[in-house]
Amino acid sequence: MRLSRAIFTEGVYESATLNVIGVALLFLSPGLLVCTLVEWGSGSSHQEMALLGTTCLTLVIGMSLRTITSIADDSMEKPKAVFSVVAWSWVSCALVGVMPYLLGDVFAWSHFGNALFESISGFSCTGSTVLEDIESNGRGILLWRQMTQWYGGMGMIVLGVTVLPNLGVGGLKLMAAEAPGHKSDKLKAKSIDTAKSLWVIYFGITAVITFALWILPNISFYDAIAHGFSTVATGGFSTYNASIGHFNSYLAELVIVVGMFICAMNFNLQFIFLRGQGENKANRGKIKVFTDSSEWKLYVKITLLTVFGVFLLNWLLDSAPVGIAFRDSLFNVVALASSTGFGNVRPNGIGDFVLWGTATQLVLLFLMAVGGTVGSTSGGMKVLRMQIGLKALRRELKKLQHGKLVFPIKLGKTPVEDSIVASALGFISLFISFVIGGTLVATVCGGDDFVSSLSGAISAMSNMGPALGDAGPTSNFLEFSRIGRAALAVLMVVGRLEIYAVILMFIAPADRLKIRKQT
Amino acid sequence: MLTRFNSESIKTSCFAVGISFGLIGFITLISAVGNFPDSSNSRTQLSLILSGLLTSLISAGLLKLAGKQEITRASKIFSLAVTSILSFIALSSIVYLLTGFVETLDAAIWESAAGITTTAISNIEIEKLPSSMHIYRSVSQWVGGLGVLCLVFVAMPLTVRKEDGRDLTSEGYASQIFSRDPKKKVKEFSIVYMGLTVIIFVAYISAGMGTFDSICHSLTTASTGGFSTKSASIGSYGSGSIEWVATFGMIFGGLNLGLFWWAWKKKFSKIKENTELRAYFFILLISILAFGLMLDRDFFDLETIRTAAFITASLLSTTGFTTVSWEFSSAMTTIALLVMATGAMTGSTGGGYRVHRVIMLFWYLRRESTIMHKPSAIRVMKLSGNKVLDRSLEKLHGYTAIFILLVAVGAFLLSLSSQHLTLQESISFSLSAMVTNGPGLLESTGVGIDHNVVSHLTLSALMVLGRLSILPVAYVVLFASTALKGVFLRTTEEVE
Repeated sequence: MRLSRAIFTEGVYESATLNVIGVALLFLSPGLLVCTLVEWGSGSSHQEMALLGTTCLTLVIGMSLRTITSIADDSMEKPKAVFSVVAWSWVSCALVGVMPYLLGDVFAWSHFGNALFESISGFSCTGSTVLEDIESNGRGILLWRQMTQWYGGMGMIVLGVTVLPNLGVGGLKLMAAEAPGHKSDKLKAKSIDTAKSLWVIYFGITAVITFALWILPNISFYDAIAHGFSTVATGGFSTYNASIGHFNSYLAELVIVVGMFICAMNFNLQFIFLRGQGENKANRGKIKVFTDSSEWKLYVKITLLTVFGVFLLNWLLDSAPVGIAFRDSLFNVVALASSTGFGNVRPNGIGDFVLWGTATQLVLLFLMAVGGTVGSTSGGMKVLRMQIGLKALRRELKKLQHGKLVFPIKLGKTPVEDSIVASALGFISLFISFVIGGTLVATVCGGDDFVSSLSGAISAMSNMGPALGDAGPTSNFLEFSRIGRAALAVLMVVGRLEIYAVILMFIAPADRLKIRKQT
Repeated sequence: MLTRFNSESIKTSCFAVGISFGLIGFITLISAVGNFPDSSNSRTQLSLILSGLLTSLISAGLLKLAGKQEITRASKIFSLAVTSILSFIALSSIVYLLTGFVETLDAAIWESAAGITTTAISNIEIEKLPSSMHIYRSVSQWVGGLGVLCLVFVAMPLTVRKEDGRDLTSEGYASQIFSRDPKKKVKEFSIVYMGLTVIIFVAYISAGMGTFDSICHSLTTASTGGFSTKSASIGSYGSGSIEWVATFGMIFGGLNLGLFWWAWKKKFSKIKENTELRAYFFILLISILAFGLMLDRDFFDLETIRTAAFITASLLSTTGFTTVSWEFSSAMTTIALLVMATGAMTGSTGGGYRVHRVIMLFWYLRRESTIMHKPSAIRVMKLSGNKVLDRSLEKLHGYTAIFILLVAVGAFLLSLSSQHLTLQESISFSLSAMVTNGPGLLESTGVGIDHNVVSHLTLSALMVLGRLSILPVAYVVLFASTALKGVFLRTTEEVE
């Protein structure tokens, strides 16, 4: 049978969710194949069959779903359907992502939960790990682990958008659901072009970071690409137990700091800066693109001020040598502000931020919660929402002072609609509620330590990686109880999918997965 | 400058400061009388009598100067509330310094703020205080509680703009419960407040507490203040019946006082339909159950239930009385912090985020989920039969954000001031002050806060902010900054 477009669009059953899950799984298979080859070529361990088996599995399931299902013309019109597709695709990828770990004996089958945690942590770009000894695993498996973050960075759905002309509908809505930020229709009129543009930028940044790391001494191409994947996705997984601290290189840290900082910036702005077309053509290559964005300015201010503040606290209060204080403060603040979560613990350094003063740790908690900018791969509440929240508070006070006057909230020179303000404030409240819920489950049901649970919940919701307390950069999330880890895994998904998609996912699950026969 | 701080502003300030002077005069004179039979603390007595007479005279002068005040605008109410509380703290600090029980100004400010904001936090050796100072501290908290009731029932309804609609929940349903006339309203809830205090006093006496201690403890229980005449608080009596009285006293103190008025008027259906009351008791019961199970004792033992009920009541009503050390397991710490943060009902003397906001937040989540699922659906949120306005939700989110931000900033400053404070302790001390509870949750290796200027002033600021529900203070700060900016700009223009 000749593989034609019709096979993928005229399946017997109508289900947009299953069809897009099929697309997502098909996109995983090239990555898995590459990892199989790396594992086979490196000979570091014998986990290539696990990877090959998973490659076949994703191909078979993906092709089957695409063949037997189709998407009705009107099925992606409703927001709930779009959100549902996003959420279920995520869950499916995370479930399939478990297979290499289980088949390769990275985790025993009895520890399925740990494998799932690792997979969710990867696809959600969190970077929290439950691996006790990362370096004991094969290169292919570790590359897969890095790749899950890379895939997760822009999201399976953004990749899926490139095939949406086949599906015919919903491309822009998916973009809006997956990659929040400036309205995607401003980026480019057609969803296929939008997805391709973002893909090119994403790929380009990965290549630049990889190259910059590769030319540094003592960093192999494998290490460079593995950390390039993780950096661009603001994930935080490393192929070494000591994370970036393994290289003990100021230059490597600097490259990664710049990479993390850039990748937490709105990709739409980066697109306009690099490839602006149409009305944005005049702005191409101009720094004005960034400086005109009030969110970008606030993000830069927060990061710089925090680097300076944490440096002062480490230097003055904790008596660290000035050079080391600056180096470790810079790295860790940017790692947390971008929600990447790399560690740089090394001999003679102060990279283990769990040992920093309480005041400094509180600043780090704040950074974890805020995260990067919208439209980036970073997590957290996002700077824009914080900005709107602060402006809304200021408006409240002004209203008390001058009750009858109207005070529109503006971002730069653009007024913000009241519905967006309400949505941003509501999101902040929901974010806090989920953090409280996660902490409650971890401490009460799992008996975990309060500080670890609170910081773990914030870290998971912000897709950060390390936490404070017992789950710092030199430790792992095995410190948490099984229930605690389950709660944190849920928070990772909730945080990555920006809460609403997950809420919708569980409101009417039957409706989401209903398969009805075509008439 | 006078255009900004015009004569009306000065008169309002005079009025606010006059009230504070009057209150201090009243409290100090009562305290001096309370110490009358005891002549061993002549310095204290003399300080109190002189302070009382002087402040009463100054109060009379200031109130005459201010004349009759028409208080209708939000800005005026907020200015009045902030000026009154700050001037009260300033004057009370002087009293503390004069009596010699506190040596530094920052410590005096801290003690005074704890008194008027009904927070059970203190660094004085309680057992060494004369009875007059116990009365002074207890009456301070009682007056603070009365001030809060005035703010909620009388002042808050005046701050609502007509176009925004009435926010009955935040006003403690005052317009549905009490008379519309402010004077009558004050009289009505004052009667309830005094009645509650008297009932608690009688209950304490019946439970075997001495008369003097019963007076002091009834004042601080009804006001959810938490000051005690013993350093070990209620635990020092080792009496189950006293603990039960304190527990029920705190629970009632955390209720909307209007509910007692409704009960008096036999409007039981109104009480029954009050959503906040049901949520308050739901949280109370769940927390008692959770603490009972986590106390590592036999759950079915009455003593376990009593201890669990006491801790819950103390945390939820933000009173801060203690019977056992607040050094909990991680699970209990999380629940304790949540209960403490939730706080009491609106229209009570308790502090915290308040139960009605928790309900609104929960319903908001439900509504958003529904709207996502069915975009055309219109889901009206109701609380105790009253429609929750979108404007109230906006305020709710803003309040939530600033509440957490202030707790975080407080924790940051406390951890800067106290080198040995852990993350958990800094958060719990900051939260405890913000909700006007008092004691923080210590860790097993913890030593608590270092007593210095920064920690004292940080905690004082948090207590004031928490007591006034943030907005009035924020408004005054914004107003002052705008005014100062105006003055600065004018001065610059003049120089040019």
